[in-house]
Order: sequence, then structure tokens, then C-alpha cells
Amino acid sequence: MKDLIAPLKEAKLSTAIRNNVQVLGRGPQTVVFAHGFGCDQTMWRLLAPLFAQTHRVILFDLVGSGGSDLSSYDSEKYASLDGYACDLVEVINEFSPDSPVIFVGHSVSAMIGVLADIQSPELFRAHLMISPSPCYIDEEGYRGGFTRADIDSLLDTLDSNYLGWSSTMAPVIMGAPGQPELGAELTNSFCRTDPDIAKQFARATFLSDHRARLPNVPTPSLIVQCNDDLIAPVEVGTYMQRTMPRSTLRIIENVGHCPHLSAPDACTQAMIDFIGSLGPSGPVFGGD
Amino acid sequence: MLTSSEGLIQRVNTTFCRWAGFDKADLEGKRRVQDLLTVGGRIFHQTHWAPLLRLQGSVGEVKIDLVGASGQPMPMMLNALRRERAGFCVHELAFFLAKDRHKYETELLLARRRAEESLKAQLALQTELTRADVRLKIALESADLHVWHIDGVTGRVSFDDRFALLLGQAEPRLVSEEEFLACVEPEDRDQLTRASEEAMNPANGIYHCVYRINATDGSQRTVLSSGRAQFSADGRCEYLTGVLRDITEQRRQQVEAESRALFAEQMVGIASHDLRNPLQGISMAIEMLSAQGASEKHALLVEGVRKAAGRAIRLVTDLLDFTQARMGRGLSVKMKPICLDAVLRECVSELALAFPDRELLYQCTVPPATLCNADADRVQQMVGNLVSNAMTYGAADRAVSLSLDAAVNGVALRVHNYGPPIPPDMIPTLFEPLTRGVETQSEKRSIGLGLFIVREIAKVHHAEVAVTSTADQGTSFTVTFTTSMETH
Repeated sequence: MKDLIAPLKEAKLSTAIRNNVQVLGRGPQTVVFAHGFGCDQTMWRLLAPLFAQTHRVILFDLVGSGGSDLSSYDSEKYASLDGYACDLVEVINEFSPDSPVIFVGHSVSAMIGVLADIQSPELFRAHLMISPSPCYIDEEGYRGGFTRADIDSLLDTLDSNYLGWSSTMAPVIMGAPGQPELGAELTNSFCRTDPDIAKQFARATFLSDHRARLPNVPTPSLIVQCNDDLIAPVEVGTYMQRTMPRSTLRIIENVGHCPHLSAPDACTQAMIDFIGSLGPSGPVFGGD
Repeated sequence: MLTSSEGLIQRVNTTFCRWAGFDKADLEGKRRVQDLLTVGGRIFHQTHWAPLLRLQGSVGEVKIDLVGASGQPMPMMLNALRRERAGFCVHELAFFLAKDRHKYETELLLARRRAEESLKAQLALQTELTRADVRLKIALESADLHVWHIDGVTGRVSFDDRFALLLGQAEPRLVSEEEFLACVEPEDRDQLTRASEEAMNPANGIYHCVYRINATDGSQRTVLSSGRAQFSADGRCEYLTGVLRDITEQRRQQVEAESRALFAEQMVGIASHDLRNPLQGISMAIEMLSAQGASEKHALLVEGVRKAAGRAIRLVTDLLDFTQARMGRGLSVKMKPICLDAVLRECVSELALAFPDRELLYQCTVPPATLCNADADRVQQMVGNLVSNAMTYGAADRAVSLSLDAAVNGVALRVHNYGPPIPPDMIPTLFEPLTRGVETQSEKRSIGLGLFIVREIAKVHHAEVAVTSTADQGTSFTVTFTTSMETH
């Protein structure tokens, strides 16, 4: 046992603390889940246990979100998504150094995965992109869904929520009858974010344009797009499918930006189908 | 408001309808709650509180802007609860108008921004201050200076950390006033107190003190402490601050150099004193030799030796006087009332022999009986030096003149020559020992003590020496005897 503990290098410990890394389950294939803007790894609450039955599942928080180490937040490093991509490479390098992972990225994290793949392609076996968008702002010949003014209005909303944002939304409406588990969760508060970090992250996310990077990702990629999503419209999904060399687009019936929460079954099915299509080296779902 | 889990409004009360400016029928079953938000609010809904509502079952105190029929955004607070009944899921939303709260929050936000900005400015200042402090510390360390500070009110003394090294400690650390005082040489403690008392006096304000420190490692160090007092508008001393320098080595070298110089001067004094007797013996023997009749060649040789001996005597006399003056004893004089005119006439006849090729004029305009309290030998020596100087530097084809004239409260003795003037930049140091005139045949000169001795002789006579020198008027040295004038 000692031999197993010894290699836990300091670097690994510090990455684990910095990104609040959690490891669940066992299996020949490692699946890494990354949350999007405005939330944290709790988002994967419905999907992660399911995958953990047959896979090794790694969950983590982006620095500045959830249970990450806020003191690691460096406004220069995280001014663009590249800083987050560096962190992702470190997390995979340290927690799955020997075998490439299947990376599940929601929203902005799908693009963080793209940047990390370009940096270290050997770490990635496949990308599962949930509601991704390479560019949120409308450009000539491209519809991202927003204008610059819309993003400014988001920054205003974040500003005016700064009081509530940090202490965030611990449920104030008490106990719904018939939902005893709610009581236990009252002590939790998810998706904590420092208001300044939230604003910076919003800028890094919504003002970014990574369309030019998409052709450089030869890794098999699944794009899961909802049929009614304000943040990432279907057009964005079709654009990505056209642009990425080995991508598959799956459109699922869902209103909103978080199908893994509001349509978990359809979302999971799309993911499992895709993993199955990856070929014999892929794990057999439900096996082990 | 009740909505589906997708946000479609199912039921809404009239209050909300009034706020939003819509009819119930326009909302129920037709619009989603997110449609009533600003775009920013929609993104916030989609990315943050909608997923939270699913995860937690409720959200509280979300701040949103509702965009009603008028298009004007209305600040609102929102609490929401997710309920599941018989497989159906509904969201219960409670809205509160938050205009005042919004105002308050905006102000709070502004205040927070201002606070953050001033914090940033302060941090920048602090960084600059820290940098300056580090620079100062390096500079002080390089100069080996220690900083001290005395509080004007409490009188407490404090030092920088490196002060500990001066007291013999191995490492820099904070030193207490008691520790410091214990190390100050007991004899010097009063001096320290006096120095700070003087500095705290608004008329003075300057701190200066040299004292000794008995370090704990057994060594004794001498330190020079200098500083200044800072006074308040009403003249109270607020504090004294300054630096302290270890001058032990400097002191040691100074003392060593002084004692070496003293020894050298003593040697010169002894040698010149002891050389005078044999020289005078030689001189007397020559007088006797020259008195006897001899061949012309013999007489010429004797005359040569006589002159050489005379020069040697003058030289060692100068040296002896110089060392006596330098060693603080001053020149020895025997003062008595003398007739200066008579002394000068004797001088002129002797000097005429010493400079047979040159013309020396003498003129006296004071009554011949004028008496002056002086040492005749010293006056002769002084005149000898001045005339010899004039012969050396003056034009060889023009006469040197000596005169004695009345002056305010006394008499003025003047030696004048023609020739190139003394360069003006040499005038201030002309009377210092070992100052020589420019470009002259050096064998004619002694070792540059002549004018120094003139000044020393004048000094013991309370007389004043002045020099004027121009190309037209030539050079004049004037010695004014101002005291003890008596006329018989």
C-alpha cells in the first residue's frame, strides 16, 4: 500500500485541491466531466453515478467555481480559456497519465476541451460536447445567438446579483413535503462563485471566438445540441459538425441549456451510443 | 406564478400582471418566464438558477430585471421552488418588486467599486513604499549606517535591526534601549544625554555626538551619531532621528597618522636644534679664519663656506621654528621695547652682505625714536625672510626696498620688489608651509617655510601681514605692528 501512496506527488495533491478533483468508480476507460459557466461539478449529479458503474469517472471544478481553490485564481491566466485548458491538461496528466480519456464538456468546457486537445492530443480519445458553442456573438455569416450588448447586459445582471451570487442561493424556501432529501441539501450551497471571478469568466466565455480551432481537432467528437436552447442554438451545432473533421451531431428534445439535468435519459443515450461507436478498444457499457 | 419545468407560465396572479403590464390571457399558457427577462437575465437563468433549481429544488433571492409590456426593465427579487406531484413537475415563483433594494444595491456596488479602486491605489502606493524602503535599506547597509529614532514625547529610543551587530550580536535583531545603554561606555553617557538635550532645543535642533560602545563581544567601538530634531508648529520636539556610523577604524587610523606626524616633527625639531650648535661652531671658525690675512684664492673659499654656513643656519632655524609653531608651542619670543628703525638698519647692512650683487634700499618715515614692543631677533628673522623672498622672486635688475611708515595705531614694515606678480590663485595659501613660488632656481630657496615663519612671527607680535601683487606695482609684503606703541 505504501508504494501506492508514495507516488502521490505534491503536484497531484495541489492539482486535486486547486480543481477540487473527485474520482468515482472503476473501469478500463476514464471519463472526465467538466461543468460549464455558472455552475460546478454538481451538475453531473445525475450522469456521473451512472457512468461510474462501468467507468472511472473524474469530476472537477474550474478554478473560481464551486469547491475549487479560490486562492489559485489568477486573473491574467484565466482571462482566456487557454488558462482553463492548461488546468485540464494537468488534471488528465495527473489522474489518467497512461490512457487517453473520454472528455465530457458542458457548454464552455467543450471548448476548453478543444483547446486542451490541440495542446496535448494524446490525452483525448473522444469529446462528448454538451450544448457547446465556439462563438456566442453573431458574426458575418455566423449566428451565435447574441450581440455584444446582450453580453454586457449579462455582466450587469451578474453585477446586480453580486450579493446573492457569493452566498449563493442556499434554498430559502423550506422543505417541500415528500422530498426529505431536500432537508439535507439545505446546508449545501452549489455553484458558489466570487462575483468578480464570475464576471471575468463570463467575459472569457461569451466574448471568445474559437471557431478557427475547430478544424484542428481530429479526435472523434459528439455534439449534443438541444432543439430549444437560447445559449447554444441548433445552428451552432450544425456549424460545428460541418467544421470539425470527425464529429457527429445529435439533436435532442429539450428546452434549455442543461440537457444532462433536464433530459438526462436522452442525453445519456446519445453519449452511450457514441461511446459504443468508438470501436473495439472502447469499453463495453454495462460490462466489467 | 406557477410554471412548467420548462418555464411556461401556467398561472399568474393579478399583481404580477399589473407589474408586467400584460393581461393574464397574454401570459398563461403563452409565455415562458424567461421571455420576460433581459437577455443577460436569460443567460443567467439558463446557466445558473435554472440548473440550481433542479439541483437544489429551490433558489432564493435571485435578482432579475423583468421586461414588461412597456419594455422598461423592472428590478425584481425572485424566490422559486420546484415541486413534483404525481410525476408532474411545477415551479412556484414568487416575485417581489425591488426598486428600492435595487437603488440601494447600485449604491452599494458603486461604493464597493470605489473602495476597491482606492484599495488598489493604496496597494500600489504600499508596493512603491516597500520598494523605496528596500532601496533605502540597501543604501544604508552599503554605507554601513544605522538608523536611530528618539520619540520627543516619551523619550524612548529605537534602532534598526542591524544595530545589534554593533553591540556585538551575531544576528540582526531588535535592540531595546536598556540593552543599548548598558553597552555605552559609562564615561560617555552624560555626553549622550547632553547631545539629545541640545538637539531638542528649538534654537539648535542638530544632534551630534561621538561616543564609545563596549560591545558584548569584548571589543570597544567608537561611533559618530548625527541627526536632527523635528519640531511641531508650537516648537515642541516631536522626534529626533538620525544615523550612526562606526568610526572605530577611522579613529584608529587618524590617531596613528597623528602620532606618526608628531613623531616626524619631533625628529625634525630635535635634528634642527642639535644641528645649530655645530653650524654655529663652523660659522665662528670661519669668521676667525677670514680675519687672518690669506691669499685671494683662500679668501674666496672662506667667503663661500661662510655663505653656505649662513644659509645652513637660516635653514635649520626655519625648521626649528616651523616645528615649534606646528607642535602648538608657538615661537619663543623675548619681547621688549625696541627701536624698529635701528633693528632694520642693522638688518639692511647684514643683508647687503648676503646679497652683494643686488641693490637693497631702506627708507624710514617715522620718528627714529619710535619704540615698539617686539623681539628684535624675530623681527630680524622676519625681515631676512621677506627680503630673501623678494630677492628670489623679484626682478634681478631692479632694487628691493624696505620701508617703515606710520600706520593707523602703529607702524607698517614693508618689503617691495618688482617683477612678475604672484598668481592670484596662490595668494590664499601663500603663508602655508611648503608653498613655493613658480618656476625659480630652486637652489636659491629654502624649503618653503619662509613666509610661514613670517606669519608665525607676526602672530606672536599680534601684527598683521598683507600682500599685494600686480605686474605694474610689483609685490609688497606689509607687516603692521599695531600694539604696544610707545614714543619717547
